[in-house]
Amino acid sequence: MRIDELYLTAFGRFRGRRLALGPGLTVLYGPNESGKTTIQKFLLGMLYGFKKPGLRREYTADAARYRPWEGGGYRGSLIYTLGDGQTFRVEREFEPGSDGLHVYDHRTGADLTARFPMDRRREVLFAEAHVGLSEEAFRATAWVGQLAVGQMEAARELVARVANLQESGREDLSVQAALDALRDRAKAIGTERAVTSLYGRTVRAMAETRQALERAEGAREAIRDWEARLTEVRAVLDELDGELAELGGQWQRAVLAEAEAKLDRVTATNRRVRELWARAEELERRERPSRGQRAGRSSPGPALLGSAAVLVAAAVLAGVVIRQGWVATILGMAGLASAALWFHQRSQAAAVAAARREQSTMELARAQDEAEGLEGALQALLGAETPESLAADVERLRAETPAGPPPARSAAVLQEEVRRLEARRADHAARASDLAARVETALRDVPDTADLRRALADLAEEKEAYEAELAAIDLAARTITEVAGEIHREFAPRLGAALGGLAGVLTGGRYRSVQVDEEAAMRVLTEDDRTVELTALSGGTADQLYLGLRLALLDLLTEGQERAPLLLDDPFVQYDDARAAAALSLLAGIARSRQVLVLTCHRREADLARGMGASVIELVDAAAEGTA
Amino acid sequence: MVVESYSPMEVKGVQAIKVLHLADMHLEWPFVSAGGDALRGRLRREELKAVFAGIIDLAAREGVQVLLAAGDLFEHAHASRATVKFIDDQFRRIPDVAVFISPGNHDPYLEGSYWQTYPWAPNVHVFGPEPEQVDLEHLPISVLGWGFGAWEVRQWQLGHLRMGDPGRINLAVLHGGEGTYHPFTPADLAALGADYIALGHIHKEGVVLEQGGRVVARYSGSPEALGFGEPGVHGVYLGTVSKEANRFQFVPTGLRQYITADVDVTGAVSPEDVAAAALAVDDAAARQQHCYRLRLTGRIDPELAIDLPVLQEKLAGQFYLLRLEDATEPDYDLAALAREKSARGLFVRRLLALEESATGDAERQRARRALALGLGAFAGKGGGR
Repeated sequence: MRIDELYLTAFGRFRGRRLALGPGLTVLYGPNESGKTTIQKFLLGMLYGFKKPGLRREYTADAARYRPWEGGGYRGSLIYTLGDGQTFRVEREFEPGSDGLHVYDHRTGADLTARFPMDRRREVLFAEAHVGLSEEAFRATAWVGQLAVGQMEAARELVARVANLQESGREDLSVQAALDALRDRAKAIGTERAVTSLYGRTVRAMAETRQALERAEGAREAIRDWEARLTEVRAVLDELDGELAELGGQWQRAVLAEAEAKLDRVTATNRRVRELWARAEELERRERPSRGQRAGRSSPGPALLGSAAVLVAAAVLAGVVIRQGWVATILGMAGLASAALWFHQRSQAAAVAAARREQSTMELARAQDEAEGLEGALQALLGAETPESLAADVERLRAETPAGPPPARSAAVLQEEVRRLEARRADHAARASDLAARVETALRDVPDTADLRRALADLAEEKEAYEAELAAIDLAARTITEVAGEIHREFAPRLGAALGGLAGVLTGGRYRSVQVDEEAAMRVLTEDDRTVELTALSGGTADQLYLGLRLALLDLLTEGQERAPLLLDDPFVQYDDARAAAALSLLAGIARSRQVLVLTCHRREADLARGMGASVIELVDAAAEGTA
Repeated sequence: MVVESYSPMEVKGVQAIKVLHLADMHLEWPFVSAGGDALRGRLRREELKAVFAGIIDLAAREGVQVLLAAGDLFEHAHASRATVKFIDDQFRRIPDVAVFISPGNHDPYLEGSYWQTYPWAPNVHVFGPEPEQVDLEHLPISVLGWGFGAWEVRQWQLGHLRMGDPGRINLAVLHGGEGTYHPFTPADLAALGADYIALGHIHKEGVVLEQGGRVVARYSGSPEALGFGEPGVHGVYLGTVSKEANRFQFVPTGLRQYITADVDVTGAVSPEDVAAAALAVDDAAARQQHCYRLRLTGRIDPELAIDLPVLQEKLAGQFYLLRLEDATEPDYDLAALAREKSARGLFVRRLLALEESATGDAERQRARRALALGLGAFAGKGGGR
């Protein structure tokens, strides 16, 4: 492809500016601010437009930057000729939004635009077909900026980029950028060790949740155990309650039986005492009237006897416990006096009566004796009770005591047993309430295991998803690396061959060839067949080789296709005169088969070029031109 | 829950008895991977209890004589005494119904389990790991049962047993049927000689043994679906068993269904388009009633990154429970890309070949995902979605 004419209808500072270019080497010379960059951008814009790479219709900053300073239609045209001699004219409208282009056959004027594919950005891809390079490939190879010192260090990356570009021709398919993007993606997920990363957080949360779940399950197990024991203890309590009820009944019945027996004894004893006293009274009564008869017959005896009887009766009635011996003494004394009198009056009758009296007296004494003994026993039996209170007690016990078989053991034994049972019951009740409290407390504190189980599963799912994503990222990155390596392996020897020829020219024959290995590392071979690493070369030589590399890459990329023009923007600023001359002469050589356009603000290059027979276009000062 | 068409059969000869067959209630199920948040999980657990209470209502209303609960009534790991008390309280509401429970692998008859420690209602009989036959005194009914005594049981446990009394209705209630969960075959079941065998373990209802047109053994399925693995309508079986015929009817008891659907979002150009497509899966009433797992499928603009959490949040109010999965693929012309002479073209060819030769789903998916990621990376897309 040879560019014949640029026409800047209205573009940046230029308005109606025409630039006619010939084949071969052309140097565009102009001082700073003369618009060299604008012309470069115009050429790029004419060929590839001002849209960003990608799928969306977005514009680069240049689209706005080169709006005509003085207004008017933001457009231009370009005339070029292909290797087969066909000439085309392209007209382009740059205004973002309404931008577009038409490709015409320059001879016939036929609109050929529809012959070219249009991409998603609605960009007509005529240049890819006619230049033979995509925009990215063009920028990476055919468009050479300032050749800075030490650039060779970046050569490897450039080769890698271009290796891929040779086939795709697209910079946005840069392997390195893709690998970087994948690495960013993997980094966003993170690792287990990066504890604040998504993955790290998930792994830690999982471990914590699992621990919490294990603790909760342990707690649940303990609760179930306590509950089971509580159930057992409560069952024992129920049993004890049953036993207590039974034993308590027995005890009550035993108490009742014993109270009844006591009451019976008290009642019987009381009756006997009453009988005895009744007998004693009768005996006395029987004696008192017979004595009274005799007293009527003026006998002192009965009076004495009577007084003794009254004394005894009084004593008895007064409830005084009178000792048997004392009574007998009184009675004995009274009896003695009477007997003496009776004996004096009627000795025979008296003897009979005396015998009878003695018998009666003895009987009376015996009855009194027995009554007194029983009364003592009764008193001991009753203690603080009375027969009445005892009867009331029995009555009450009868009402309270449950029916049942008669007790086999005494109340005291039974009571002891009830006490023992009650102690056991209290012990179990305490254990039950302790267990119940433990269960209650534990239940309050134990987390919901179902919730935890669910959370754990969710986290595991999350972790798995991250791992799957990381595995996919890894697979993608590995595949891209492999693929890139493969391309390099194919590309490297071809690049080496293309570079080899140039190396000699650029280094004045000091180096014979350049070797490029599969990893795109370069070494040079000296005249005497020594291999020298790039790092061992002088800076100047390395820079020369870099230019050679660019040219070799362009050759490789356009092999068998249209020869794209080579565009260099002030390439030799940092070169000394000798190197600049060598480089320029190389370019002149290249220009025999490829149009070469050098933009420079250095008169040196313009002069050198003139000397080589190249055409030189001098850009007048843009400000002056603008007003012209 | 209304049973409209249920009418007990008049059966000649030995009287027909009315039976309710229930299984796999799984009270306190943790609803793992069933979508929604923790709160939804708890809510679902409450709903399970409500469904169980509804089944007891059904038993009461229908005058059921025997209730057969074929295992996995509750989750041993997550049930508390309160859960068990709830279950027991329900059984106490139907004191005239003889309840027979054969514990399953989720609620095995373990030492210290509530089966052994809880004072169950008098109308409840729980079978342990020794097969046992209970002959009812007031009815000519015998019930054979066996319950899991461990988390796994690798052998059929009732090989030596046969119920043959022709004067009685012979029922059996069992859990398991596969793998390490008490495996058995229809022939094993047939050998029991039972008139009806209530099975539990498989959450989808289905007949296991049919003899002379009489369904003798079946799974009743889970009364309430427990996750997306259990689509469709769930319920219990209610009917009569006699020596001549078993007349059962499926009674739906499930409150909510788990619905899985693919939502093709091909052509969607904005997140709103994707949301609209998800909403179109069902009407509003259904969306508020059931649980949905929506798999977004189709090819979409590679620039349209679907942000699942955002989309999920956007749609949350529109669904009772929604689980979103992204299975969309960036709309690349893979055939054209594969023809491309570039690292990208070579990359696409490699991964398509890898996907082709993948031996498993995971491997295939990984290749497919790597392809999408790589293409995105070539287009300069890094970072997370």
